[in-house]
Amino acid sequence: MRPRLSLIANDPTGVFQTSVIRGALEVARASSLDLFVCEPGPGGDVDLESARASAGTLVLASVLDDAALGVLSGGGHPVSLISHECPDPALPAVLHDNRQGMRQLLDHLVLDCGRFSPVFVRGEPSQLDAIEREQAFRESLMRHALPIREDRFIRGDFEPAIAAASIRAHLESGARFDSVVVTDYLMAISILSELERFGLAVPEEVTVVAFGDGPEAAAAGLSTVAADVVELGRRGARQLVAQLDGDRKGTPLRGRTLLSTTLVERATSLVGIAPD
Amino acid sequence: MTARRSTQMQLKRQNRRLVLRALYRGEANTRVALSQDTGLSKPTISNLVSELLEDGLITEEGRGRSSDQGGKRPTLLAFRPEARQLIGVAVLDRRVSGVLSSLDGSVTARHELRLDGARGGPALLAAITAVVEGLWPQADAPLLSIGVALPGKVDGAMGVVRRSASLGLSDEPLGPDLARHFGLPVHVGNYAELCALGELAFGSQDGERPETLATLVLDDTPDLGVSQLGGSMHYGSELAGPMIDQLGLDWQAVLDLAEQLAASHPGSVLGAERLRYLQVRHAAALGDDGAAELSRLLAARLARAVAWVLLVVQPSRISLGGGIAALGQPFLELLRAETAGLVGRSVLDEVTFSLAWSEQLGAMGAVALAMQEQLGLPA
Repeated sequence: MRPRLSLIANDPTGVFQTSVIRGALEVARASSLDLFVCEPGPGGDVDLESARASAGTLVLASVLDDAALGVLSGGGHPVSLISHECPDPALPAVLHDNRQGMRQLLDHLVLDCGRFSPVFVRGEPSQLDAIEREQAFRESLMRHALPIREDRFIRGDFEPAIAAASIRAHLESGARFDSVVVTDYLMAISILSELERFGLAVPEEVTVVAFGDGPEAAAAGLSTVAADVVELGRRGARQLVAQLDGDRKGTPLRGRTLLSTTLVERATSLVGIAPD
Repeated sequence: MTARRSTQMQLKRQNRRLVLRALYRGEANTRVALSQDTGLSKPTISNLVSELLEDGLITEEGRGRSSDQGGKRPTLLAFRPEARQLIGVAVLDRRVSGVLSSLDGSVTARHELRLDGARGGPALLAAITAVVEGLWPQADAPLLSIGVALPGKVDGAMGVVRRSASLGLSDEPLGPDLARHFGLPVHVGNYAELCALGELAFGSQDGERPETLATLVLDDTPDLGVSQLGGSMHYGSELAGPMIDQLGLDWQAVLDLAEQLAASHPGSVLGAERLRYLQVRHAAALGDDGAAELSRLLAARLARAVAWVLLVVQPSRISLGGGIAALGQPFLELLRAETAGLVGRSVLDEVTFSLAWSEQLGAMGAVALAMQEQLGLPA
């Protein structure tokens, strides 16, 4: 039987995690390894012993807390994290460059589109991506000399329904804004529907941009910073495989590998639309 | 090895670099053109091209047009930037960050590690090793060499950090230690000098490539690096160290100044805990008088260093790097005005001021150093 890697995911049929798994699978196959995807049971428990019986484990997003990661990586079991970080135990991670991506979105919004009053739709507050993207958004506002107004930071939790409810409440409160920056593109698509319901034209009256990209974003004409999610899976698997074999066998990796993002301009942020 | 044989090998290495550089820069793309461009004989070019093809550093790309006199169509040659990759690592006071780069400076992965107060030789060596180990599995081509940039006095030829107060290093043989560990050539240089080299090698934000670039890096400790286009020279840290040290531009001096100003500007951002340059810029833009005053005073202090650099080095560009770059364009304009007050506007006519184009500039400078030492590129 071929040696196998484990990949622990909490949403393996979702768009994001499916793409990550595809990338990891490519690398595993090229290294003559099988890849088994595990997900939490109905009670939220993950079969860590099964994962520990494999050659190494990839852990996707925040499916395991730090204590569980400690158990998983105990005794030198190789672990790499994807879109998540764990300071203790210090495990290697592969992440998108959230700072670069958010800076690209704000530069586009301000310099290209002439928008200066953005609303920010947060992600799930315990997730690293959500924390880093909000921090980077705040830094970008400062760089562009724009005021930081806490009433323009609204809840999204990486859940489209929650994001839609938040923007609806924001609109009903009479708040005025000229753009929306969303921490995840699926939330942004639900926000586009709400803006339409309120009779607001995108991009003429409100510009919408979001982090992450996929076929749904392309279909909706949503401007995004594209983070190559399949590549994220590939890089994570490479990092894990490097801990298993080759010249550097047994080398405990530390730190985080960051992948670059690129801006994808589509209809929701057409340049030259904003009034003078 | 005899002296004669050694000279022959050096000559061959130099010729190989000439050919590779001409192809890298796109100055020639056939064997005949290479011969004309470098002044080397056709048989010498033919041998060197065969070697470079075998090494995979260049490729044949079909046939070009015949000359006006007719004859055989020449085989077109092209440099292959994807043939090798390099790792560049920058060590600063709080983190180590590395890039994995192709030969054209395109970065395919970055890796970073927080230092969490780690200082001294063993801790730094472990941190740099961890960053290189983190990038190693992401390589898509054979690794050529590793470059390391860090603040302090560096003996580049020996790969030894003579002194780095901020990192707690003294006569640390980082280059040889890393080379032994990884089995690759390792080149070490001063951070500010390599920032200048990196900007010249891989271009600045505006795409211009100045003849002589002086980069002033202001992080926890200030530093100066100078690099010149068309040569492998980079220097500066030895020159400016004592002068810059006296100007009160290290981060602690900036914080002390902010504290003094905060007392006379109640409500100013200067009273904030863990003040950062970006906060100062933002507050100044939104009308915080204390932050504006701090920016002006910093510009006045830095202008003295810039004036000195202008007179001694005569650069065509002054670039600001490190944390102070977060003060942005408004600060650059203040700095230019303050400098003009010291040296006169006419001196500034031929000089541009810019901000370092990337936060990963030090690591890219380390890539440039490694490429320069190994292949004679991209100077």
